[in-house]
Amino acid sequence: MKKVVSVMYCECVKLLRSKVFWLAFAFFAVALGVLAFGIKPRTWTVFFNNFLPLTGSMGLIVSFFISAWVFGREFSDKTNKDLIAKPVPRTTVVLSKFLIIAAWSLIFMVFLFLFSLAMGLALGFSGFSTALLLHAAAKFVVAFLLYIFLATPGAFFASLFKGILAPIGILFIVAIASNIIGNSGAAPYFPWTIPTILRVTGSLNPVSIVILIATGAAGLEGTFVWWRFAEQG
Amino acid sequence: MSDSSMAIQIEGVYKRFGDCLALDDLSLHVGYGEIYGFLGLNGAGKSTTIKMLLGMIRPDAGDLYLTGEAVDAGNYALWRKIGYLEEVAFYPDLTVAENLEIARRMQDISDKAAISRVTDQLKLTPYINRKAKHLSFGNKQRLGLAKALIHDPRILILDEPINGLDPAGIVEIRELIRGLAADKGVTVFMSSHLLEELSKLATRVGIIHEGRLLEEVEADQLERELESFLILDAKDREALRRTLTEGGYEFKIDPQGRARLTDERAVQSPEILSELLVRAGQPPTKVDVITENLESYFLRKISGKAEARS
Repeated sequence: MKKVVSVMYCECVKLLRSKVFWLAFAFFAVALGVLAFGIKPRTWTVFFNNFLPLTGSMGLIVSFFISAWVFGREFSDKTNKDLIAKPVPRTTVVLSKFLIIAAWSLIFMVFLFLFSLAMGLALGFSGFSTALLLHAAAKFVVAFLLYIFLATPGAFFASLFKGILAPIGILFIVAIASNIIGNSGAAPYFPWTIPTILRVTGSLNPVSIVILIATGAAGLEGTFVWWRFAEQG
Repeated sequence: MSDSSMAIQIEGVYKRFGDCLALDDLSLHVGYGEIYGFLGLNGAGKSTTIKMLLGMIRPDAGDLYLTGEAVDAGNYALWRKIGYLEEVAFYPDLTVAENLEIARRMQDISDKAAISRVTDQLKLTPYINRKAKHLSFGNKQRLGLAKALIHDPRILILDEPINGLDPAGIVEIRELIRGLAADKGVTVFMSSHLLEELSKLATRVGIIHEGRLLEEVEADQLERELESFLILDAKDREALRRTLTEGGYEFKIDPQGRARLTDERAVQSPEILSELLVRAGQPPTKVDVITENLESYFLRKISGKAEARS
């Protein structure tokens, strides 16, 4: 446990000192601001039913990107070799990275939610109710948490392809496929459209649950196995 | 079979990458406190060997041991004793101090003073708060070495550690490595393609070519291994060659058309040969005894072995 905390400290320093960390917040703040201006009519009902789910679906992009970046930057900086041949098990390094990914993604989730609300307040939306807020917040959080769990393949692809470009490309494919599949009958069977199904219907069929768990677990397990056994030539 | 009396032990290692046989039955042993120079051209197998010693890649066959323990990615406690500079890498947006703090934690050492100790040792203290990406090339190399040394390793594995350093930096790093071996008994395994540089530092040099260890030479034997030869020229080269043949001397013609003799009689007593030529009416226009330099020696060794193998 002490080693995990120590390596997590290293990951925190790397994260807080990187421009990407701060630029990601700035980018999504601007994107949310622009989108919020387009909401018509300016009521909290429209905000919670249309805008907040859109913000929530950003969870796919945010958490997948974070996952890919935390692992992929080690290859672009060539520091991947500084993580091995050390008296710290490789599994500890990978676990610490996943914990940092989860922490960063959760911070992002809170940021996106609060920033969206702030935009609603600043733009003077009407018809606010606490019940509406809590209901929308619950759906937002659940969908976002599922997206975080589904981001683990980003870490695996960043490790497998030794960099960040390949997983970003895969993220684009996933995002486009989610849009296409989301409008078809196959949505319950594509991992990254399952959180939307849950948000809209409030429930999932058993096959969707299995697919969701299998995808997240495969990303986790694949990354651990890769770091333990793959050659670092 | 591991031998704990050896700091580094490589036994019959093979490694193939696709069609390329990178290491071909490589075996070598390095004792404690030795500075072993691992010499080879680019692509000879030096970096593959080093990556394998660090558990970054696995051999197809054969075994590797450090301090008698098998090298294996799962044997992470082993790396407490090993420092390495495989490739200079750092977190560019972090300062020297932050990079070293990460190295300290990754090496699992609790002594925070290790950072100031190693920055003093490598003259990095003035740059402690500078972002790594803003360091000069030489200081980046020093940072790499600082990370390798922060935990006082028993074995130091360095891949081309002087690449890109200026002459003053080369001398400084050389003295540092020599001091580590002499004062602290650190075993150093360092690769280079520069025999001249290795000869100034190593206690023993191993030459690797096409994945095979061609030869190992004690550093103090190197000078004796160097070949001397005599270069002769005359106005009438045909007559010169005839006279040499009649005098029983073996020679080759160099690319400039001059006679090159490796015959010990000629090299040891060029005046006798000169006299012979004068008497034959072919006074030499050039008589030069040349001792090959270390790089020529290295090239001769690898070309000779390559010819012998083909």
